[in-house]
Amino acid sequence: MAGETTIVHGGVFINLALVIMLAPIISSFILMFIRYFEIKRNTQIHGVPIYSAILGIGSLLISFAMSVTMTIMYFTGEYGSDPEHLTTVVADAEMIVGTNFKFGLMIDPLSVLMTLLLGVIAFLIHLYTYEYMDHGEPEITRFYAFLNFFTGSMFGFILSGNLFMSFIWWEMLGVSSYFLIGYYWKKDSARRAGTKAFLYNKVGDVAFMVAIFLILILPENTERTLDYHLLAELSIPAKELLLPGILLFGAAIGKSSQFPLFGWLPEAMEGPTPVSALLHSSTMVKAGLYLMIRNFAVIYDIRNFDVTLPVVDPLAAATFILFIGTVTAFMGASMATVSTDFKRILAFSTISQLGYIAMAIGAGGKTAAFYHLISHATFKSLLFLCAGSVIHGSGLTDIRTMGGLHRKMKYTMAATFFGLFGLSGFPFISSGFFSKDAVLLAVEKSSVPFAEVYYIIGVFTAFLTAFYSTRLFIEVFFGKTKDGKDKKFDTRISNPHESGKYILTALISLSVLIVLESLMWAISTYGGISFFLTEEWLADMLGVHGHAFEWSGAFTSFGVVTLGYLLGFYLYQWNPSSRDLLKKPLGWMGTIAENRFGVDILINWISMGIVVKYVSPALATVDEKVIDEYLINTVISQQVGLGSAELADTIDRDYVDGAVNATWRSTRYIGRVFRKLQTGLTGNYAQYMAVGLVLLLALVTVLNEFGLANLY
Amino acid sequence: MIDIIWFILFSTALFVTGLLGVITQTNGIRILISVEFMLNAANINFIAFNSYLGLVDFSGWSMALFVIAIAAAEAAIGLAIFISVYRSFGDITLGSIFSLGEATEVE
Repeated sequence: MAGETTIVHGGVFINLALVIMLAPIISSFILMFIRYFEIKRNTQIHGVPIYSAILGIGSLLISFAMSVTMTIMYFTGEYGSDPEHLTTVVADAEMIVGTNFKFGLMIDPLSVLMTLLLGVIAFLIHLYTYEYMDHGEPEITRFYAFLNFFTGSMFGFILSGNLFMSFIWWEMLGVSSYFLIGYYWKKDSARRAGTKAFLYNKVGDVAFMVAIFLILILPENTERTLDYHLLAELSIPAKELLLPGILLFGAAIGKSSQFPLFGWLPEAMEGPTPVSALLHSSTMVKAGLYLMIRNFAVIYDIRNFDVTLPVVDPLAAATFILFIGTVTAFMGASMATVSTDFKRILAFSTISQLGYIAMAIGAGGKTAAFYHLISHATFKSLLFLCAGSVIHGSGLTDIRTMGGLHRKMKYTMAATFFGLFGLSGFPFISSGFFSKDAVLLAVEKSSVPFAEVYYIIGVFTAFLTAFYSTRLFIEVFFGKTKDGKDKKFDTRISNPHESGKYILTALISLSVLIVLESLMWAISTYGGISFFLTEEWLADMLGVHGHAFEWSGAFTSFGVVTLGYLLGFYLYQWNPSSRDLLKKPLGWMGTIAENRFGVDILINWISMGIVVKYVSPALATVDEKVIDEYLINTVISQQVGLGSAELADTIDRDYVDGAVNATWRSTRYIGRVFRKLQTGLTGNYAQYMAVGLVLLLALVTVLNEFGLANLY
Repeated sequence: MIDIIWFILFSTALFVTGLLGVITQTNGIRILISVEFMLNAANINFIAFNSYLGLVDFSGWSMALFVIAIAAAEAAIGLAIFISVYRSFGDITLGSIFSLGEATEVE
């Protein structure tokens, strides 16, 4: 570990963090209320769409400005300027008094950098949304509301200081992504995609909950704390961390679409493009991996290593993570290779890159993972915005129908070039190259069993990445038909045009960001200058050092990436007819990849074939027979219900009714006794009167005799 | 001067005679006569005590006059009622006239 970390409670950073996360949330609630009001009243208030756009983008501008401010203040001030004496700012308030369930905020280098990344990207995407979405329609208010809510949830997730708070924001991310993916809810496929994303994520959520519980009951966790800064100080043997580590990664499998549960991510393309861009770059899918980086101590006993990578127990969760990450990276890349939909290619590519990040985490390369996370967020958001621009301008989504777009959309083409330049990892200069190299290096040097195999698969995936990037670029913007002519746009289908200034602003800003990142990494790598934003600096900040840059590994990457480029150019630009030759021997591989390796079919079979067919009826039977009939009918109703009913009946009949009956019975009895005196015969009355008179006289006489009353 | 006790004994005898008549007789006219007996027993008491106490304002006498007036009114109204009853029912035996009363409950 690099230096000591001090914990400070409260301070100006907490206020900044609150502003950053609450600005979009508050704005989203205002927008939701306005839209609710409109729907309730069945009216459309004049000018609401434009004001909601201003509010939606404005709140993100606040977050963006504040995150830049926070980054500058943190890294130039006393807290973060010296890697040897880092300060983590925490703040918490008990949610339920007397428990460890707290509202918590935590500001350390990791969350500051991530906040900056999200602030920049989310702001540009909101800006892009203004032009991309039809800003005249009233529904746009809802879109901005959910987009703000989504971004705000991610800010909250990044800045949250304990596992419990993370879980709350995590769920908010899940639900807002559901709303956004199903934004066009009138379309059946959009509804299905939203539901699928939500259900796939739920699997991860369950794992997350169990993981939180397991961490809470660890024997070393005597304080029963969930705070990250306290958890990091615990000394927990690796054996006990196996299950929590795997389950935490299970949460990431759902959210970050790792191997068995990656099916929802391509379907999530049903949402509008800004949603995809946000979802794939720095929010949703990064949440799972950010959680893993944040809880690095849960996967590795972090105090046991210094500057080198951790030694991995063969049993540790790391082995599992590395395996899943590698499988995901390979599968994603191969699916991207055979896909033909522009946005789907990017979605599969995201899966593949997320696999890389998971590989780095599994290999113990915390820095490499975060490094790749940053560069991937930048170029993937750019690529999605480019895809949106192409779709917006041309109205097409299938890359086979595109081609020759370079004449019409020069700026978009340039931006796509920069995006793919990062994604494919253009050798020796692009940011993607350095980050991917760091990941591969971490895998190669790690002590996980079979690291060599994972390394080779990783390198092969890099080759595939370069290949499909080239294919995408050529097919969309240049391309040749199989008889050797230049591909041209079918003007009957669409009339492509360049997008407007808001879209281009976002595209150019992100391109510049990629160039800047690339320059930084390049200067720091080759120049040995480590004063600002070098990998070493990043490693100091995160407390885990990776391996130094090595030329041997870099040349391997260089070789495979170049090979990928060449193959792409050969098959799609120079000699398109040769694709038919490859189809025969390699077609079966393509079919497998097109069917997503049968993973979705398997999940479908498990959920529909087994769960719905057998498990659900079994549970239904249990519910009906055991719970309904036995527990409810027999035990509760007869023992408890019937008993109390009988008691109530007894009380009612014997006491309440009895009192009433006694009243009328006694009244009737008295009546019967006295009615006998009422004979109706005058003589009888006279008798009574005489008797009464005699009694009265006797009484007077007696009282008088004893001196009790003086009646004279 | 006759002692006051004889007046009291006489009026008591007269009163009890009237009372017995009211209780035992069923004929309306007889009851009316018995009531007259009782009222006159009271009159005797009023007058005897007025003399015995020597009241100069003669309040006992005036009370006796009131009673005589009431007895006359009572006799007039009573006889009129009995004539009306006799016309309706053909009988003035008081025990047999109960058509305004509740039907006797059968136990």
